[in-house]
Amino acid sequence: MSNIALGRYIPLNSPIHKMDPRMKIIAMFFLLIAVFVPAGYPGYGVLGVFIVSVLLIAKLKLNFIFRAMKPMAFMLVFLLFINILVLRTGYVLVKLGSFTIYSDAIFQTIYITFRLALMIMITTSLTATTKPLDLTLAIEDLLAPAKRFGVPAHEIAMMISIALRFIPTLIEETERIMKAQASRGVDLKEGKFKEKIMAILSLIVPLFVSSFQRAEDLADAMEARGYVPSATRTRYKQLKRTLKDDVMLMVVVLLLAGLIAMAIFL
Amino acid sequence: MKPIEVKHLKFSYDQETDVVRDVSFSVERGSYTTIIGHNGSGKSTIAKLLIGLLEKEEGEILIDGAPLTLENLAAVRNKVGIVFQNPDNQFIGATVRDDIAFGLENHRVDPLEMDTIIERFAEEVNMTAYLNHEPTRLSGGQKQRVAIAGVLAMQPEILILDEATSMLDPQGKADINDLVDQLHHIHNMTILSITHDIEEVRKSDHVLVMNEGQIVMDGDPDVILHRYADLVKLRLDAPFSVKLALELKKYGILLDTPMNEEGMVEQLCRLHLKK
Amino acid sequence: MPIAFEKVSYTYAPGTPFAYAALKEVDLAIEMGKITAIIGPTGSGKSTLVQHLNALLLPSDGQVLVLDRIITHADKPKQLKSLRKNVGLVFQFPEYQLFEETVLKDVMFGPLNFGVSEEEAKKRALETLNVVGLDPMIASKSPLDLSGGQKRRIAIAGILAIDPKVLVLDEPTAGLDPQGSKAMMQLFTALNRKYEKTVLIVTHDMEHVLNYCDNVVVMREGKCAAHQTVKEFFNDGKLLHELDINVPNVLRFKEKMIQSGMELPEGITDIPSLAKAIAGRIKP
Repeated sequence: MSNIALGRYIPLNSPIHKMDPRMKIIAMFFLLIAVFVPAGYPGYGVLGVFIVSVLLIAKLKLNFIFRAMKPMAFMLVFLLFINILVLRTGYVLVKLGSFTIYSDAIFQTIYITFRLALMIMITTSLTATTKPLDLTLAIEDLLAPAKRFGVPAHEIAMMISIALRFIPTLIEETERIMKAQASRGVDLKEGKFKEKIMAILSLIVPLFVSSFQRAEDLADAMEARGYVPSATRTRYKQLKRTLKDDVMLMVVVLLLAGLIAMAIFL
Repeated sequence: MKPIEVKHLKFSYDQETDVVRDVSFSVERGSYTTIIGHNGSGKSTIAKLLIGLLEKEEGEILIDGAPLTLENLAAVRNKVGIVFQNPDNQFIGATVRDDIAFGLENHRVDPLEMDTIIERFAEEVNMTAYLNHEPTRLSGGQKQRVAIAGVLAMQPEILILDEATSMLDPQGKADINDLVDQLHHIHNMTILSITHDIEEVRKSDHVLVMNEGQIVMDGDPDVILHRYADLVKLRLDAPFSVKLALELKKYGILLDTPMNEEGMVEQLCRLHLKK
Repeated sequence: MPIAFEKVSYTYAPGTPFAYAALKEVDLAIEMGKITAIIGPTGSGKSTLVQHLNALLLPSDGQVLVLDRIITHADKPKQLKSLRKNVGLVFQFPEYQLFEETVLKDVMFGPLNFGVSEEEAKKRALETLNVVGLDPMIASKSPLDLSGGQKRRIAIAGILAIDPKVLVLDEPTAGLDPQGSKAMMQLFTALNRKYEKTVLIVTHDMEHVLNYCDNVVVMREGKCAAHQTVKEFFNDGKLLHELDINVPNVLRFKEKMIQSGMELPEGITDIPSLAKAIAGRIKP
């Protein structure tokens, strides 16, 4: 369980996993806002401890943070150089001949790195502990009030859930097509540019064609079973909000308030 | 009042070639009617026309005596359930449960009652052990069983099967054929099955043979399946027993129950012993 | 230059909780120049088996001998492409692999990938379209505009144009109407008899096995449960019963007659010979 792909759901049995996904989404938004509250070191310290605790309660291993940050390492080093050249405030840290490196350059970069890490941890704490379908239901419920403004909450949720249902099927189909074309001599690794394009076309075109057919068939099946997008429907899966969820959200709101207070008074 | 009545139905996709030309037929209540025809004869199109997925150009479609219109489309779809050919492309839910629930959601069934209904119909199609399975873990036959459960949950009177076993392996085909048989006998459902399976036709009460968009034969399978030469001309096959009987005729052996293998065996034995 | 499986095992997703042993130490030699049917229930390993023949899958254990090549787990992808020139594999519902602008271009795609010149590829394409029984007028149409049966034949032509010595087909008649089915099997027979191709057909249809195939391989739970000539196979009542085979109608009826007291000879494989034999007993 140590390989947590970014964003993927990890089925575990933790209090965080069992929480109402709607509350989790809302909490996530508040926490993301909290990341940008300028509450200084103490603020980030508190926020960091909070997030790490959440991840530990969710029984997730923390090494995913490093794996997720790796692709950004290059960008961050680049940022460090830019900052060193551009930010010439704060106290002097090091003097290399005629070149001076100021503290703010280093600390700004550290800040940004830390913020990135926090955001990754916050979003992962949602996606790793919530089944994609539950997320979809939560999105549908949270968007529901926006229906009066014309937001098709239900249709969006339906599209997402059908897409999710078909991802494994489409992956299987892609493999099948790849094998069929490999039998015809398609070699994605070798060949001139034109050949590679044909190879890719030989995968994409059949996939598209069958997907369109699939979509048509699905629409027929859905209609035949009485589906009307704009009509009211009941929903089999009900999300349950408990006291624990309310408490958790309260804690997050208090945290945010606390950080704002720190930002103002410190 | 017949459950399905079609009069002079006409339909084409592109205004050029008529896929369905002047088709008229009716289906009796509680009967098992099969429609056969070569690929491209228009049989699948009829299924879609009957539930309003396609709009007819001319003619009448009467379900339980009422003409099919935009207004009563929902009501008709309540009465007529349909299972399509591709097991994957009609499986909407993330799991078996969710898929059966889909139809219930559309009909605004109370969520608190859904579990009972889902479990009842899963039981009916023998899929109780798979209620929480995702479709990728199911065979074609199992997915079609779920499709049938989903349709049954709406308690329709009429069940249309649009080549529902064409894409299944022999085990899956047998499974579904048995299940539909059961539904026909136990629930007295009116069944309309579009099929290639000549054995299924033999067991049905009524057969319609289509060719190039028209119905060319309409009646008792026992009579129609006997017309081997005609069937071959229509690019169809005849049941084994019919073909054997025809071959035996060449040797002057005439059998009077060519549709029934047991009968044939009996007769042949008698002839054998007589000599 | 045989085709042989030597203690071949294959496991999907090895080392994960989803590991599944699809083939278990399969030992099997396929006779060249014949039509061999590969039968068995779904999940018995038939598809996995045939995908080893053109190295789409490499054995987890053991080795596969195909023509003059030995394929093992250690083979590198680069070397495998040349094998696919000689072993053509047609998947189930192959109509889904068509993608080119015109039928002709689609059929040419295979040979072009194997280094055939454009001119030669075109020649082969027109030839194979003819062999599969399609009207040459079809060559300039878009493959996506045609019927399922036509698409299937185009897909098969596309593999034939590569001119493989061995042709492997995975359920080639699935979903076809009776006449289409028959035409397909007659095509394969012609490819074998006239063009001397070794043909392997994965199928569920026992009638086809009886009427068109020389040999039969029965797969069961990842192992080869039987490998005989079709004649021997269908005469071995005990084996058929043991393997739970859905016997073809002709043999089933023959058995019923025998059970009812009529003696019938061996070697009955189709309706005419059955009728003749029965008639012979009634009016000798």
